[in-house]
Amino acid sequence: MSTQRTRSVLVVCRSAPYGRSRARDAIDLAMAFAAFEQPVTLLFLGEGVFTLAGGQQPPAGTRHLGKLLGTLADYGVGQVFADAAALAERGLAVRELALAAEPAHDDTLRELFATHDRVITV
Amino acid sequence: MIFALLVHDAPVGRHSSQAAYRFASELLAGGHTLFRVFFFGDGVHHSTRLNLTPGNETDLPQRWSRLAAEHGVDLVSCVGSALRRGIVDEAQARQHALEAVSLRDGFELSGLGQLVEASIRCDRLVVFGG
Repeated sequence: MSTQRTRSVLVVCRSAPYGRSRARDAIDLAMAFAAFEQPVTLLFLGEGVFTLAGGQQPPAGTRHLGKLLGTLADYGVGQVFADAAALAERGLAVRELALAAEPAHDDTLRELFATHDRVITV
Repeated sequence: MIFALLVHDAPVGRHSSQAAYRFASELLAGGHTLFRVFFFGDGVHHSTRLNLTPGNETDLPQRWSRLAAEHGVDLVSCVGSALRRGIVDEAQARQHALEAVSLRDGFELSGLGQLVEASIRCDRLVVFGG
């Protein structure tokens, strides 16, 4: 069995923030891997980019994911990327996001999937 | 090769869970090692012992439990996901004064650290239902 202590992890969120708990699950997974000192990158694809939208008003009894994103850095989640095409299709401007995510075009997306040891889709 | 699996979906209603079980069976039959299966979110419904499945359908909780007994596979349900969904072991039932234990034999409840450990120690981490 490998003696390696860390594996880089790409956590991929493809679900909108409310209506299902998948986006919340993705953030929880990213935080957990970071808490155990694994290098973590979080990527929002497709509908998942709505998780980054500024000015969220979630339904009562639901965790505010825009605010939760603000704590990612405290857990040591290194980088957050958002599918650039998905942002544009949904009218989300990078400067208005709840978190300063880096827009990722096709070449960056390919690189993210190729360079991480683990890809965890949620 | 050493594998770990992450299962997101409930045993009923999604095909991904059937695929996860078939994948696990085949890799064991092929001589590989299955280090751990981690059930997360709705995936923890696999670890109930209170399900009833019609005779002509596959009882995935029972199959996993049997696979664990035969091959020593570690089956872990995320404790946070499980408690929200009524999957409790004896310790949790006692601690929270719940009237029943619902965790199936062969499964244990634990935290996300078990998934992280699986990621570190395995050659491949395969996700079902993501």
